[in-house]
Amino acid sequence: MEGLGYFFMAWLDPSLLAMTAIGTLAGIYIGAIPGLSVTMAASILISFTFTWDVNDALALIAGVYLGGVYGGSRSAILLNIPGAPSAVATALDGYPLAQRGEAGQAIGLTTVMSVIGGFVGILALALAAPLISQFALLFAPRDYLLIAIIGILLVGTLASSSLAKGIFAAAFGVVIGLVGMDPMTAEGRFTFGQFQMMGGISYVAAMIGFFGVAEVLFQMRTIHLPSVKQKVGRLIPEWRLVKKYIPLSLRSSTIGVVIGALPGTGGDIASLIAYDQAKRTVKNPSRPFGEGAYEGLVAPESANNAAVGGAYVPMLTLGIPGDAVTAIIIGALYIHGLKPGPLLMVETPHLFWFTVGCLFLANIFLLIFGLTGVRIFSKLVEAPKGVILPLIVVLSVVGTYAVQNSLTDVYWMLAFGILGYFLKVYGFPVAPVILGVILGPLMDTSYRRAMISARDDLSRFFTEFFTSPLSLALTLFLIFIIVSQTPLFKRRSKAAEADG
Amino acid sequence: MQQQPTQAPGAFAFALVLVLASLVLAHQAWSISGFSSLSSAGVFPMLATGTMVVTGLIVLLDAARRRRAENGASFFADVVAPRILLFAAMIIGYMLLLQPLGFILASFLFLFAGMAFLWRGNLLRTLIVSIVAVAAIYVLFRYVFVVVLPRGVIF
Repeated sequence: MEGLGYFFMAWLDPSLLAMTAIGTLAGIYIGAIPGLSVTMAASILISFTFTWDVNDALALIAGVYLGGVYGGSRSAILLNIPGAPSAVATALDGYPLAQRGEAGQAIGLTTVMSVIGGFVGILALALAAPLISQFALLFAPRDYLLIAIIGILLVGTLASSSLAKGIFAAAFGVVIGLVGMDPMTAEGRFTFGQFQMMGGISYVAAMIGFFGVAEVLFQMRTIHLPSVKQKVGRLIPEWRLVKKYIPLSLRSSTIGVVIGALPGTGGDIASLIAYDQAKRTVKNPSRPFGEGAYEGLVAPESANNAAVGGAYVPMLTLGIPGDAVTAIIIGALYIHGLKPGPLLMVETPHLFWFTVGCLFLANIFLLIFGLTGVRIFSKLVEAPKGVILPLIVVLSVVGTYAVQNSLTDVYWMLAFGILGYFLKVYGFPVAPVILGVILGPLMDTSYRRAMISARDDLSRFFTEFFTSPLSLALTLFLIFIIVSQTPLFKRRSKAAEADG
Repeated sequence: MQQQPTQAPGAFAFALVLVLASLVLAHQAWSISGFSSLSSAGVFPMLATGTMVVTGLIVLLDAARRRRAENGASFFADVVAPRILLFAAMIIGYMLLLQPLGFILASFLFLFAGMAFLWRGNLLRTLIVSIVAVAAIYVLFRYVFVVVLPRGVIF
């Protein structure tokens, strides 16, 4: 019952209500403008909230996250440029629909389906998180180590065309996360003898560098591509269409929740998998997939918003990020003095119910903002890159400097930005880097605790992975992920696909 | 692993730099506590940097194999094309000017120069947009979000 009070806290407090609304609106627009991603927005915005009350910060973040994941669909439909990675699949059928003059219908349907997906995700979060956190109290350090490795492997394998590049990026992130004084022995690590490095590298600097400045430089490569305008008609979708696609939406949402809840994978992967699943299972789509099928909008858009609720699950219960955005949120929670993990739900259950309440509220705002204000919207989406890119640089500076008023952080950010540009050009994914930065210290301490409890005995250390049922299950899952990446497995599944 | 048929020019050299940097980091990791115990401060750093070296080598070999498939453009025309180089130089200059000039002046100069270079609208419009943008950002962050911004000699 107490939880219910916290659930409605943001609904009744005008300033929290406003924060959630502003966050959602900002998220939608930022997500929609090509070149501004949710991750970039979250990393820049979150740095300003460090001096705020934690509730205000959580309300804003919930809005930005939900709004941003949805917003990407707008530019995917109108311009054929996904505004965010989670909208890549949306463009496949959304843009053909816009070309047929059905842009309004497409946006309306997308909005309603995103909201349905969002509610499924939030429901799953509210139901599953308390159970998982109870269960998580039983986790041993080695289980955390296993989950973190699984997360890094999943994002490494799925985020890039090359497994080696994904894992390299993640390991590099781990190293960045380990720089500074070792919390257990106070030894300096990767400090190159510099005293200033003992405090470690600000993760905000790394994050904004990789997602802000690197992205700006990368966009310079395509700055002169012209965009095509579309006419937008009526936005409110027909009820018969909504009713018809509710079952598909619920199915896709379930996929979204599960993928979102897996550590390391978020809305971008969820939407692609849901699209693929719909393509294979829907017998008579409204039009062939890829030519403007409504099903091709419903599936990815339900899934990516459902993944938001899903991604909060491992973050709040295990302290392990569900995707890049939740990795950033975890960092923010630490700075606010909170420790995401199983004890968060035990010690501060109000925070959990408050977060669920904010997400629920943000989802309602999403419906309102999504179905209105499209005219101003299309103007903003067409804002020239020549204006937007320099502005992102200035905001990146403000965001990095704001955290600890340090110009050194700004220089780090710049260095990561330039490095990130080259990584992106040569096909290295940058999301695993951020995941590595956040997970690195956790993996290090989990590994050492597990090793100490095995009394530094290597054989005992490994035996324990097979003696506890939970560790065994996680180990088997880990082995499956690795084996599924080997050429042998791939050749067999390709052969099977060719047969079918 | 679905390999891309082409790669950006300079991929081999970049992979080589990554491998060398990984080796330096691996040496740093080893120097923390060597192999003194399995739970010492240096073990996990060694595992992480070791992973970087191994995966870096795989990327390097792959880049070497596909060297002929580079998409034809030269490194200086594609990866560090003059306009990218110039804009990167503007960003670096901006960050170096933050200390002496302060946030307001440095940001204004950067926005004006950056937009004049990328947007190519008329100069008066660029001037107005950059003044309005700096003013809006300053008021929003300094007074609404109460964030401290770098101060220079004048402001």
